[in-house]
Amino acid sequence: MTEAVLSVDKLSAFYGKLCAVRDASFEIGKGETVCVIGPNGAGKTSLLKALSGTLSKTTGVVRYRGQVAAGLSPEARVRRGLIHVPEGRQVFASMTVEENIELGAYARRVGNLSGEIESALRLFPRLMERRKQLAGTLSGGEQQMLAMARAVIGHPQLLMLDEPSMGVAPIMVAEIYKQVQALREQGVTILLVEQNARIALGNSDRALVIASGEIRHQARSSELLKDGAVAGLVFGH
Amino acid sequence: MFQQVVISGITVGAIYALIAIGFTIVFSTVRVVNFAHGEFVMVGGLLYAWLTIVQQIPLALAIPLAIAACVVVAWLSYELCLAGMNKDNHIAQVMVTLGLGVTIKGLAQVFIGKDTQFPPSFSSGSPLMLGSMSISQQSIWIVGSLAVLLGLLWAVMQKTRIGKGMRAVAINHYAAVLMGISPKRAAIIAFVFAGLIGGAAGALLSPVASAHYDNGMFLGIKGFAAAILGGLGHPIGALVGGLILGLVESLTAGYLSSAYKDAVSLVLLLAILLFRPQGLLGRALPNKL
Ligand SMILES: Nc1ncnc2c1ncn2[C@@H]1O[C@H](COP(=O)(O)OP(=O)(O)OP(=O)(O)O)[C@@H](O)[C@H]1O
Ligand SMILES: [Mg+2]
Repeated sequence: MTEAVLSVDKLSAFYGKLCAVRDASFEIGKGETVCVIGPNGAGKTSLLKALSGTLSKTTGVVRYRGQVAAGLSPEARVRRGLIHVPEGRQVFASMTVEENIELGAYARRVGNLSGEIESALRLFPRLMERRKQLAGTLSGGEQQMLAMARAVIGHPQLLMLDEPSMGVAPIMVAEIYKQVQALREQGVTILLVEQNARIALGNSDRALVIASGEIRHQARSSELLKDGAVAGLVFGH
Repeated sequence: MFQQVVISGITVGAIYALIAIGFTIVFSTVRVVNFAHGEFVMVGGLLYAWLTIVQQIPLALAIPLAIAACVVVAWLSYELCLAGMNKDNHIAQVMVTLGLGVTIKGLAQVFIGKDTQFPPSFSSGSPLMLGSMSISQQSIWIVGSLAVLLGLLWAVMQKTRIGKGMRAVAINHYAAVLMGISPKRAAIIAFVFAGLIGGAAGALLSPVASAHYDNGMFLGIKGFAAAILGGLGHPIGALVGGLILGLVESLTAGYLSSAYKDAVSLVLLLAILLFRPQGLLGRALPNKL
């Protein structure tokens, strides 16, 4: 593995006393796409929140681009290119598509964004057509596209995607994953959370299988796709 | 007479609107109803009076100084009292702002005094005559300031990076954090605006209604009522709520009796809360996730 963008050592994360992630250890190399798969309530979202710093009650050590993350606020992490596209998209409902995208570049402090907003809109033609529309009026799939475009304009070094296919029509899932692939080809490091294991394994280099807050298994995605026994563990049959 | 009543209603309403904006901007970014806000307004008026009457400082200096002091008071209020609190404990936050209000009032009483002061108008000169109506110079200052401050606020919120960030925090706090926006910074700026606009409201009002350390609660309640009336969290709502409240009070005082004006505005407020709890311009909270 080349230099690690993210290295996680015995990370646990808590909501009050409830432990949602327990002793997770893994690394992500530069340019790698790693997926996290596991059932409902396994702790996938909590893991991403711990990494983005929005779930702050944690133990263990996270290093992001060589720096210990514990002292970094969520804002500081975003400024360093650690970008988290949250579960349920979380677009700014009463702002327009364009304004949402513009906010994706907030941490970069660049003056004129109009050119970059154009290229972000160009990723998804449906967004281009709806650029002046309020984000809250978009369909689920369109909102997911917006969340992706908003992340891309932030120039992610490590992009964390939480269930981009959830509640999205299959055609739009394909469109969204086309852009995930494009980002992979550009060398963006990605941590992808999906409940849909087939999609996740088909779009990643390696996989972490998580259940009850613990990482149960780490393997190459291609192997997991072939391996019947592990497929049982993953797909739950 | 009707025209004169309307003019006085608009003047008072403009003050209520200025106070309401402070409630609204803090509520939308920090999710706290700041019950100390009326005291910011009181401090603006009292300091303006103290600077002009006791210290004999020229108006052109006294006005910005009084407002700047209010900004500092508002900023310190946030920094010392609210910044470190658990943001989900709303009851505790409300209690803290109430305590803060009492503290500011006490400090004003001790350091500036208990006397009622009558500071000078911003400009001396005869009232403007429009037909049979006479509009005092201070009324023009009040309404003009409302227009300028609202315009300024609008420009900051729509056009600047920091303003867009504040709107983002107001709309979706979690997503705003994920964009790298600091909610704490947004909160500080919200309080700075509340201090600025509240202090200006206090200074503008004091030549008309005098300045006294005990005025804060009353002014706060009026501004809060205006904010609720228009829709808390909605800047245009603050304007509309303030003007309606001012006009209703003025019409009641003019045609019924000034003894009823608070009662009538209270009934209006109750009716709104009953039939349109989100306020006139506020949108109903969506129930969907
Ligand atoms: N805000 C919260 N407060 C308390 N407990 C929480 C909170 N969010 C999640 N949990 C708990 O933490 C555990 C892990 O939840 P998490 O959302 O991380 O799972 P997940 O793998 O993302 O599930 P899903 O596939 O449904 O999105 C669950 O037991 C859940 O009930
Ligand atoms: Mg989840």
